[in-house]
Amino acid sequence: MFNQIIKIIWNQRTSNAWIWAEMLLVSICLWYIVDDLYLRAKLYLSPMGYDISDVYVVDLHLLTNENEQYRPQSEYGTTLGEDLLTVVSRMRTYPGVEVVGISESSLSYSYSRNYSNMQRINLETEDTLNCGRLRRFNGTPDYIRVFRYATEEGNTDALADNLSFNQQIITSDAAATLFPEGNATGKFLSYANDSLAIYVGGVMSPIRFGDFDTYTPTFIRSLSENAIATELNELYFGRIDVTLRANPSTGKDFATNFLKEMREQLRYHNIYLLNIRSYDDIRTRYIRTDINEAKMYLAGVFFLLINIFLGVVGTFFFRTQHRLGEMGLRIALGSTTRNLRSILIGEGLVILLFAFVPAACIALNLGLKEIVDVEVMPFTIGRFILCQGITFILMTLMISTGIWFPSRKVVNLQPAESLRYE
Amino acid sequence: MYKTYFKQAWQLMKQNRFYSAIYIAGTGLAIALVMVIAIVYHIKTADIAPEVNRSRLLLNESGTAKKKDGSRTINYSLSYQTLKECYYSLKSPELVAASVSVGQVKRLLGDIYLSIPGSKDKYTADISGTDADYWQVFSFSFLEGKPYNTEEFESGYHKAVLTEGMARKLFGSVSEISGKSFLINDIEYVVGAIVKDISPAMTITYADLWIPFTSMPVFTRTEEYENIVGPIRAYILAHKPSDFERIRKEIEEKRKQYNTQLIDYEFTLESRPPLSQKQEAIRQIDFSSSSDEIILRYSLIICVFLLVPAINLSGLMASRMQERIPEIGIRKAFGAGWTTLINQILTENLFLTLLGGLCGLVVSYGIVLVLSNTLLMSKYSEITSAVSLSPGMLMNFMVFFYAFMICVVLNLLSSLIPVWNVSRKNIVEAIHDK
Repeated sequence: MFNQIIKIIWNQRTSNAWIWAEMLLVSICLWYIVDDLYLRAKLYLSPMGYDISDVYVVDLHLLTNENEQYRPQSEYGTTLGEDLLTVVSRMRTYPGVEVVGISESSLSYSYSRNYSNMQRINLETEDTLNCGRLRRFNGTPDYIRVFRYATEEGNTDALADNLSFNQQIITSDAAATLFPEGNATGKFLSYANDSLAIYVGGVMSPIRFGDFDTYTPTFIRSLSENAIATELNELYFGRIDVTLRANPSTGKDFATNFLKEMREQLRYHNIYLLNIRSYDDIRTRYIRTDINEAKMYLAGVFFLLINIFLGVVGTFFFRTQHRLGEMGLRIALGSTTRNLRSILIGEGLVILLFAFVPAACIALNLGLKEIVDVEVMPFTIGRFILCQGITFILMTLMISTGIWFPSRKVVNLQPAESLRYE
Repeated sequence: MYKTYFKQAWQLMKQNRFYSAIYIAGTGLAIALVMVIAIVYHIKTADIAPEVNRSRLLLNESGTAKKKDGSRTINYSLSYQTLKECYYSLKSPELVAASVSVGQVKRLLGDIYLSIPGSKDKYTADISGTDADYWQVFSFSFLEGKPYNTEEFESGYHKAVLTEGMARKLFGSVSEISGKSFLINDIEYVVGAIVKDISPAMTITYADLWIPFTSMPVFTRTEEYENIVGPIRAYILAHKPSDFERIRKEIEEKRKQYNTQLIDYEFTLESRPPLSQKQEAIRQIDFSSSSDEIILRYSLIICVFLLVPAINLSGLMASRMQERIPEIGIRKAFGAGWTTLINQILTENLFLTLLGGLCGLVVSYGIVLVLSNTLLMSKYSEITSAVSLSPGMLMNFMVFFYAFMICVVLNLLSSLIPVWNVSRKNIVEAIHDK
């Protein structure tokens, strides 16, 4: 049957050339989009390295001197940092609050990011190894508990307990570059422009900024309550984030109730509670752009597939009309309707095969030239075959449906009726 | 003659319903997609109220403070000091406006709540801080009252301009409320004027509420890095677009002069020089690529969007022409030249293409309306309200013109080769096909 189909295709080569060219072009474009969507899906599904369910950001603000209730900090006899710690300790008493953390520009799903250049110090040889930029988090041990950052074994407390003035936590991807020989815990690190040496207190799972971002090597530096009490001033207050983890049983009304019931209590000296936001909302807002982009790509897939569908329907509509005689003859000679349909669909698929092979070669070259995204994952043969496979299946489905429509006319033909066309 | 062609085309269309339907659907689909891109581009770059002067506007949205030894760079926007030194003193432009965008205000102040003194109800609002010339550079339609003037701006007077929607939410009505007071995060402001609502598709001017940015110290207080960078963006209105180069040069001179007064840091525009609205719209698509790359990428996308359906339609046309060869042979036998034939077929085809184009345009309106948030929100925007569109943004001469041009291009792309093939066919052979 295959030989016969090839012959039929060859005999109609002029009109087949069009559909062949279209399949070729669409196969390449479709593969490119499928590849992109595959990478996005893969990123989206890989672990974040922390847990934001039941986490809330508490927006605390300072009164300014335009407000009647404002008093200069010196009149209160406390520091701003001490006031903040008082407010935070009041938060801890609210029913359903499990743990409250304080951090500085250290939130995921946010554009405010700090980086530091880190060095590794080898104590025996006194060599230093420069290892580039790491994202810097500053937080209290409870901040680690709020986001449930964890060691690779999943232990959060082990990290929180080991974060202190001279002990930092680093992510395992940072550890792998800094300490290729393994086992980073207990070794020395320092900042590129600072001689202060710090121990690695623990290694945690790698983390990402957002669902569509790749892993960023990060370290967590300790933000002690002592430092907050003595060093915090009005200029830096805006960089401080207070986050809390609520008990999962508190439910959806937690934020509204908290805002209503705690507004009075958290109004302390110049600090007041402005708002409390669920982390899920922050995430939704952050990933909106990426979701939009993915939607656009899906629209592209849809557009290309519909085009293939229309092209195939159109071409085979005329073809079946031209060939009603031939089909009638086949029926008269004993072909079943299934045979006829499979000849037509077979024709379409063989053309696809002829188009798909050169398309795959072109795609392979595009991939090897790294015109596709290679930041998320390298261009591997597995990725190529998988995405080509998905593309092929999508095309096959569309072509079969496209031919199935016009072939209905043939299939419903009565032999006597059809021979009349001859 | 064209009337006959169209009549014939209409008859042919009725006779071959299936072919016509497929052809119109194919054209419509192609045109819908390309038109979505064209409409989005139009809304983002055309002169649409209140941004009526976009074609004459130079956007300076970014500024950099750089330590003179190169060890530190801070990319942000302009500080009030830099604005006064380098921008307000410019001679070549017509006007210079400045504002702190809604997103920037959110980043600095967090979420903002409005309320009426004594009332417990609070409403979130998107606030923008502006200067007084802002109301001249952009053309808002005022329902009531007057915005703050230069003296009020310079003294940091607590006066605000509200949109109709915000005023209705806050006061329950939109008339006779200028002069009334309300609270922005517990700070008292007076209503100066009410303007019509602004769509978030207007990326420069969108807000619910405008205040002089001098009225909140957080916008003007920038002690770090020698007070070079801050949250303020400058919008420079040129007398005509060809003045842009002259203005850029003058900014450059001012910048150099300004840098002589600075000690450790210098002010540069290297991260993003002043751009026109068109350049800015292209930059917004992808921050990590150069504008040439983006233009190349989008040209490729449009090419594919047109080429795939064009091949499709060519295939259809080729099959269709096979059926019409006898007719063409007879026409030729009676003396029709190939230009006449090509002309006729192209016109007939254009008729179908235009029908498809019309369908496509309607579909593209549907897509833009349904996906307005996805398509028109600028990247990483902090704005959460839905993008509203006015009929004028969608139905206007430019959009129709784009649609028509795309139809013509698609028609030529899809029918030239099949028609060429057919019209060259030998007369005898053509009639023989009968």
